[in-house]
Formats: sequence, C-alpha cells, structure tokens
Amino acid sequence: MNNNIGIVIVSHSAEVARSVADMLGIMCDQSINIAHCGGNKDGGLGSDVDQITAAISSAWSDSGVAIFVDLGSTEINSKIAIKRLSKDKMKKVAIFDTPLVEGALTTISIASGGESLNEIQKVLKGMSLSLL
Amino acid sequence: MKPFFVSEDKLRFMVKHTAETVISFEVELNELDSAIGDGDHGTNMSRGCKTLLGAIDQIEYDSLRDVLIFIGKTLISSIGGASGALYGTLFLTMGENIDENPTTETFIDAFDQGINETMILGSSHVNQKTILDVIVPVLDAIKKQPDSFLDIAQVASIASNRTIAMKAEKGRASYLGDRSIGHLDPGAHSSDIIIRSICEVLCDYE
Repeated sequence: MNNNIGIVIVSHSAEVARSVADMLGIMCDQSINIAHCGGNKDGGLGSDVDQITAAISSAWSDSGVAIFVDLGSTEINSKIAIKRLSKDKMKKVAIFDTPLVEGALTTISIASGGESLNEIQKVLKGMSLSLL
Repeated sequence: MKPFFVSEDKLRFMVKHTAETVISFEVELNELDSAIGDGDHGTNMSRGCKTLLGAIDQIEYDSLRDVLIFIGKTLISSIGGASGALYGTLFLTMGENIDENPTTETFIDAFDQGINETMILGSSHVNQKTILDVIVPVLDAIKKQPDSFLDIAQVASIASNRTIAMKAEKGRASYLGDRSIGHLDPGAHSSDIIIRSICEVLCDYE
C-alpha cells in the first residue's frame, strides 16, 4: 500500500470514462487506484449514483479520492454519492471542477509523489472551469 | 384546503397518476430540453416515473414519510440526469423531515427543508430558470393556505411560464446566455406537471 490518492473518472458516456481511465492507467505507474463509470442505468448517456458510489469505493485510498466529471448530472450525482459515504470518508473525497481529461492527467503526474488531496487541489486551482 | 391526511390507497393513486402524467409529457419535455439543454429531460423523467410505477405496488408503507423517502430514493437511482438528483433530494429530504402524522404546518416545514437541500445540491436559488422557480412559489402558496388545491396548481403553471422570460444561470442552458431567454424551462415545466397532478388528486378531498 502507498499513500497516493485514488482517482474516479465520471463521464456522461461510459466509453469516454473508460478511455480516459485507460489513458491514465498507461501514463501512470500503477501506484494510483483509478476507477471509472459513465452513462445511465439503461446504458445511454447520463450518470448513475450507484455506479459512482461503486467507483469511489473501488478507487478508495485513505489519503482521499479525487473525482473528475464532465459537468451537469455527473457533478450533481457525484455530490449525492459523496453524501452517501460515512462522515469520515466524506471529508476525504473532492470533486474537481477542472476539464475532465486535463485535470485528471495533471493529477496523476503529481499524485504519484504522494501529494495530499489538498495540495493537489491547490495546484489545480488555476484550471478551474469557474474561471471561464 | 384540508390538511394532508391522505389514505394509503389515495396516496398510491396520487403517485401513479403523477408518474403516468409525467410519462405522457415525455416528448414535450424532450422538445423543450432540446431547445436549451441536451434534449433528454423527458426521457430521464419518464425512466424515473416508470421505475416508480413498477415498484409502487410492491412496497409497503404506513405513512407519507415512507412514501416520500421511497420516491426520493427511486428517482435518485433511476432518472440518470441532474433532475434525478434534484427531484430525488427534494422528496427524500421532505420524507426524512416529516413526522408520522403531518399537519399543514409540519408539511410546510418539511417542504421547506427539502427545497433548501435541493438549493444546496444545485448551488442555486430562484430566478435562475430552474425547478426552484416553480416549487418555491408553490411552497409560498401553501403557506398562505388557499381555499383550494386548484389555486396551488394555478400558481405552479403561472410560475412555470415565468421562466420563459428568464435567463438560464444553471445547467447546460446557462452556456447559451441571453439565447436561453424566450424558452420555457423544461425542469420548471416538469415541476408544474407534477404539482398539477398532485393537486388534481387532492382537490377531490375538498
């Protein structure tokens, strides 16, 4: 075990989520847990709280979990998934409001050094979509 | 307007009637959402309501509290869009905060808490062209305790139509800026449909 944070990729599309996670997996050194999910329960575009909850638990690290989303329901359903966690775990999960691919790529490049969720959030502040 | 004492059969009928009505508006809601969103609000709402219809006869419940919690959880896990999280949170929070034998006062209190939680989740407030622009005026109307549930239904429809002139500040529609003006908000419209369906059933009690 290491102290690296885990990463969850949530997209409206299952294919996009899988592809981004695959790319991250190839680019990082396997010291980071990466989980992904996308689409609604019917397999169409959307997001699903149960899948997001499962992805958080599969990427779980006691150092925390960073969730990357592609706007709208992926963000709001991720918030619900976090609310379902225990109080202790809840504090260790953050949704990043960066562009999905760029934010996640930047994160794996710094997270493999064991940086905390807070430190990574500070680094990624400049990528916030709220700055648009 | 009488207090919110509804028999189990009536409650079940209310849920079914509302779900069926929302499903019947699937195409219209999709069309509205195509104009300013991603075109799936009707499909999403319909999926949630079909799940609700499929399960409502199977569940056992003793109170409005149980039904609201059941509706909230079902919508959150079945709609698959932001509307599922928002409507689901509204119903779930109402259920969690309502007492076993609600009065008009405790119902208003629970509705208030449900709206609050929905606002927090969506980081939103009124006048941003969302479901809040219908449910907040509806809560205000209930607080005034009008003579008939039909008055509340009317408030919902008027409030929904007011979103046409609003500029969207939340969701995908917000990226359109001023171009979102002139379109009825699909979420406000589905809220109107839900409120009207509930009032249609409740006014039989008057």
